[in-house]
Amino acid sequence: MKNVASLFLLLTIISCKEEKPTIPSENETGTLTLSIDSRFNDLDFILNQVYTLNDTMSIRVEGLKFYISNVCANSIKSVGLSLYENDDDYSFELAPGSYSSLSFNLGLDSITNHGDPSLHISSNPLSSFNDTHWSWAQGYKFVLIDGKFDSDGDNIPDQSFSYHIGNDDYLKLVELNTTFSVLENETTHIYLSFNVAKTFDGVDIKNKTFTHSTGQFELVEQLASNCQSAFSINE
Amino acid sequence: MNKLLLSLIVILSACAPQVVIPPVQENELGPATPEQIALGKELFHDPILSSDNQISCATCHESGQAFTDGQKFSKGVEGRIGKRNSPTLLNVAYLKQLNWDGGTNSIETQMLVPINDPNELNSSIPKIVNELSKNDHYINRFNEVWKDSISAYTLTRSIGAFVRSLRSFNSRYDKHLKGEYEYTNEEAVGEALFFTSGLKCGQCHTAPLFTNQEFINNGLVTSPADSGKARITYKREDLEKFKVPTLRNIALTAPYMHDGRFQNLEEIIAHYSEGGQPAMNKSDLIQGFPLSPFEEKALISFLNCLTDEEMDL
Repeated sequence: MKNVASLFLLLTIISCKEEKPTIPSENETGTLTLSIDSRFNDLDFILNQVYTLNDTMSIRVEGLKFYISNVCANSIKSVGLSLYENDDDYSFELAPGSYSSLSFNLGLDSITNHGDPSLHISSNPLSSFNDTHWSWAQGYKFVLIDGKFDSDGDNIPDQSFSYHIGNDDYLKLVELNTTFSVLENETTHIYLSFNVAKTFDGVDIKNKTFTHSTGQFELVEQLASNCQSAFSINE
Repeated sequence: MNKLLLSLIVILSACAPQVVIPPVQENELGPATPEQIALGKELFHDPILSSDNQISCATCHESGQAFTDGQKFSKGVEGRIGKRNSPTLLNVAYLKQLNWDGGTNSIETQMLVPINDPNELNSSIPKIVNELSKNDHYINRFNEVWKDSISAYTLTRSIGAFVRSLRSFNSRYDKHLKGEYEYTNEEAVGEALFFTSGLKCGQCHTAPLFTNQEFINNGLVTSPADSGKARITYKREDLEKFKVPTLRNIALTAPYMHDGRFQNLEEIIAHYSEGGQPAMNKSDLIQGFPLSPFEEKALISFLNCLTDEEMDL
């Protein structure tokens, strides 16, 4: 198991950018915690609750997961990656310093994406226990949005949709402007909002109910771009 | 005179097939222990891995049939039919990419495909780990072998240890190379046709694995539709390309091709002799060739020499 941990650490290090921190010592770290609050436009988002999309269609999202990785502050890379499954705090180790920008991958870099999920213990975001891995393509689902929509106008979501976004081509970089400091051995919170309603912008759900990123690539790109722009800083 | 003889031997040696066996694609643990292999063998044959406890890895990969199953498409749980022909597992230890479309790059990641496929084992790693963890026998076995609990890691490394141990280099072809077997005239002609003539068999089915591990379209119009390697790469140039399979033990692994369309070696030879079908992305190597009845018989005799008759599995 020691080898497994070493491999994971190695993969993390490989994906680092080469810029050096403008901060004290390489051994000192603080914690950057992204507190993610999912919204449905102006409403709190709750899984399995029915919302009205674009004032016209009832929709119920029954599953929402996405990977956040390669979290960087001013291009200084943090350690760790997370799988969002519900509103929570997701923490990353970061060198202490003052920063003016935040970015992260919505998905996984190519090396991590095509790794072996069995190398990870069940609690790891990359393990097989998260149901986020396509074994046939040896790759992860970066974003999963599953649920039902109202197909017949009675305001009851009755028809399934399933959007699973993956493949290296659809890795998206989320960039946000925000000023913050990370102090050694201390935790800095950044409050992020993820607007679930925005993930459906321009998507003809009634006629395009399904993609697992093996076809309908325009739809996949649309969904991936929507998810990319669904994040904002929650002031 | 001696110099002439020596030159002749050198020339003949240069024409002989390469016999250097490539390195095994080991996992991060390196070579497995006999205990790991034994546990993997037990798991490989245990239907506890499937959702209905009826199908094991060995159902589609029988040792007596060079780890294939003799079916066009394999039957998984509840009689569900798979979509591709079950390939041999012998010598997969040497392969860099697995599955007909090359979708996985290790034995450990490949086994997740049949485990998860609804038409095969229809299960998942969490379900199997959970099931095995309720079984006292396996709790003890994993503890003995790994000094650890049952997990995705110890499960896949156990099965991987067994599958990686399935090696086959003891055919008449191998014995001939070692000077332990003398070809019949027919077999010798067949080998010459295979490696040195215009048939080009040996260009894709290169010794010693009898596969160059590449992906080509060999002139098959796929039916049912199967995008092949493009399923993984999404590239038009990969449409209907499939992994070149090993020909070792080919006499035991009928039916042939990714869709099991050919029942015997004669049908395969007829396909290549006729130059295949005008398929998209067809390899330039598939040009067709004339072949006399004797030459066909000789070629089949050589292919039969690739059977390892002393496998003790």
